[in-house]
Amino acid sequence: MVPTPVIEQLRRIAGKENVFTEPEDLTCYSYDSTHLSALPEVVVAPLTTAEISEIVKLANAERIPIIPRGGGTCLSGGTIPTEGGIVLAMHRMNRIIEIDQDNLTATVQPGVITATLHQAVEKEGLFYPPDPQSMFMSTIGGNVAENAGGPRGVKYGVTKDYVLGLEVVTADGSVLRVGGKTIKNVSGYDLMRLFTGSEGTLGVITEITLRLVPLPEAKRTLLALFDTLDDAAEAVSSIIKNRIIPTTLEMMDHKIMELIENFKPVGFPMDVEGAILIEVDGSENDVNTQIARVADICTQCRSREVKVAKDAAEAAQLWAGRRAAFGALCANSRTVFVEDATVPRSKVPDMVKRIQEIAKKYELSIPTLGHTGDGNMHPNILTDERNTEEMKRVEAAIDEMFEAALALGGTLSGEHGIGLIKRKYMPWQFGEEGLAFMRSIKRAVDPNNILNPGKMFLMEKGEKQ
Amino acid sequence: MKNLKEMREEAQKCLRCGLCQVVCPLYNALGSEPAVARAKVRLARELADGNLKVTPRMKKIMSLCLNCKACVANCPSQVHTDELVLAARARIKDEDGLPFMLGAALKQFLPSNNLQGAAAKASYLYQQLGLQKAMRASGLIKAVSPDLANMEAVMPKFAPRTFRAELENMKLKRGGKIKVAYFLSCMTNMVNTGLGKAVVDVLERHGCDVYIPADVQCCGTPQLAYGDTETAEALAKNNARLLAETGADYIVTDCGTCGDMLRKYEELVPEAAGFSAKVLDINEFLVDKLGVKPGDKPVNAVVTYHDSCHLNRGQKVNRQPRELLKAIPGVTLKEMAEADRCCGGAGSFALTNYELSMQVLDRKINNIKAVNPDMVAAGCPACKMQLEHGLERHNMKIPVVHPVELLAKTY
Repeated sequence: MVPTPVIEQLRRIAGKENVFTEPEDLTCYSYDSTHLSALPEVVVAPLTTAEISEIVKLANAERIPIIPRGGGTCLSGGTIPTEGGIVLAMHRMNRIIEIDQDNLTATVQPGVITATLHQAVEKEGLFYPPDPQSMFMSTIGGNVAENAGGPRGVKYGVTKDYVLGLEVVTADGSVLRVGGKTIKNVSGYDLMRLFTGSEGTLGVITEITLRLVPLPEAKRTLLALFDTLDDAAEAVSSIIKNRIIPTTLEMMDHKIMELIENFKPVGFPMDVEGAILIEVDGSENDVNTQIARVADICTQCRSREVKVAKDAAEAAQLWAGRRAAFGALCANSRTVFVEDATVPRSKVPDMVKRIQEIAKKYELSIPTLGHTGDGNMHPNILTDERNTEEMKRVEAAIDEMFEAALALGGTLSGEHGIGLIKRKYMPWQFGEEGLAFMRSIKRAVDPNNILNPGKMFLMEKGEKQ
Repeated sequence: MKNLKEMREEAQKCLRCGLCQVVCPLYNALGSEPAVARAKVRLARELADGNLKVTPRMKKIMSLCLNCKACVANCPSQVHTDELVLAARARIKDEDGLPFMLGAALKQFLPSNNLQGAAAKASYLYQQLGLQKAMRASGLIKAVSPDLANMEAVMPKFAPRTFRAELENMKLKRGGKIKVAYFLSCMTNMVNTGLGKAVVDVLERHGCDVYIPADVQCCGTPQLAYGDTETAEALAKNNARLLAETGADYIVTDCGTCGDMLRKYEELVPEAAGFSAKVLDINEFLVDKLGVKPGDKPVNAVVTYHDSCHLNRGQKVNRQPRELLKAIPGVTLKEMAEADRCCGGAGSFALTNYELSMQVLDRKINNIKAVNPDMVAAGCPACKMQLEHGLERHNMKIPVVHPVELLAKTY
């Protein structure tokens, strides 16, 4: 229990209208986009770095957990307050501080919604590429803490590739500034990379400076349909092998196309087994050459039909199916587990096969799509959390999927983070040595374990999950 | 109507993806989780399960919903948050009752045609005799109660005689091909009597016999919005009976909200079985059933159209008003950005949450400003009232009209 005097102090720091203790408010901050939930003891919505510094100092002295929260759309349980404590709701810190047109950077507060930043910089002819599919809800702070990716990752990389500078409040309440506006920066340890993707376990991010790039002049879209999923997967590998890096390279299997077609007909033929959707960007000339080569490669990989969009309207039509995917999944299932195991790009065909085998073995429906151009697969397990027997099979299937991804030289998470959901697999990927190293970092910077405790890995070896 | 317990399964459908955050006008304004649909769905579930109780905070959070249904339209799982919120409000009302004044308004004033007539007269006099100007200038209301001052500011301009009073001397044509019952809304009755006349005129010119049962009462929306299901059901029963008794082929409304409610009568009361299929919005009726036949007199104006939530997402009528406007000689229809975004009026929401409502409204007015129209068209008198207030706040002298009023001008 957070003692009453502490609540009083929080009210003094952030203003009493920004401190919430009613059960109704606590319930609203108990969940994210996973199926998990746990109640915090108090929710505080701070306005400044100074307030956060004071709050963290207080929490550290009182040994109260602190969980920073942006849009609450985490897919790995990263903002679930499993140990109670204080949820820091960052929505009031939502200012775009500066778009620096000379240095091509943007400096923002953590509560800025990702899509809002996209719009603001694109107005100036600039581009912030990371595009997690939650970008209309998620915040930049959350994206940095989770090191979010997105479909454009194949060409443009992920959030960490754009973070140039951070302001962070550490566990003792100190305010740390790392990095800045320089493109090159090798002074000291690369703390920026350490904080990026740290899931709130090492500090509270309070300001972010991001690298921007020029907005590409043109883009073109292509949809290729295949009689077998293997051919589609081969086309994906082949495009990369041919040294073409599209902006996005998405693959859909038969199952997902069927669901989409029943949900919102977009004209997928019902007898195709796989499809890939590709977007290229660059100069006008560049995109035309690239799209022609991609079309050739798809044909060589026995694509039954290649559709190249002539204009933006046609491109939107080709994307309509992919965009409807999430709705189609939800409409067909009570519970959807979206996984994000990621493998080296050359292993995509193997991973696709393994997912199909696992689905068959556990008698589960696992329609798969993914940002396959960067090896990031999204098998979607359709189930019903009320069906306990099936949930056991789901769990076993997920275990086996991660095992398969790791065996192929892959990783547990491409973009959703570890949080609570994948914590138990961490020893598989890092071994005890790797975990011991991470734990010693965590102990050194947060000796009282107040910063988002219980996320990513457990502090003691062999501790019960 | 389903109660909260029966709606529990609906709440369970939510996958917490957060897509409602993108479109919820109140979440966009406030940014805090309790404002958004996903949170209300969760709270409704906990309330149904008995894990949370009816408390002042629960009441407050459940009151923060415009019932604009944008979340429902954007929800991949099609969770009906609008109905969940109404069910939660009904539970709150059952446990806590209604505040005295609100109860009086919902149960006595709104359903009573006599009281409405008297109030309209008093309001008209207040405005005509210069009292309103004097009151506003004196700052007296603001001094007594800022809330009351805000309410007074949003107050529409009342008509000198209610439509119901005028109806007594109105000669409705007979001998047409199609029998239409026109549902007289409170706002047409007290404020926009000109709209009522335009509707009758336009329908008659399209070969309809118009029947207007004068005894219909308030449609029941305000009662349902505050959780007073019984009064809403009583109104539904009476209105459905009166409208059905006309023997009309179609029941037509000129108010997005009333129409949305009339279409729900079937779900509300068994007596209204088969009723809802006959209900059509006037725009829909003219465009889809009759074919718009405008007159020759042009209305030279650039018009932008605002989608009322209850007309667009509630009744799925959005194409027809635009087609109707385009059919009017001289009208250039120019789309504004976010035409389907709520104006923040939401019945009495603008009165009870004035500042928040104005934040939502300002975004709408800025979108209107960007297309620089000569007038704004809307298919709902509640939106009209809110938009007029917003335009006035922004010193924009642009009228807000119903598409049918423009059509009537062409004859």
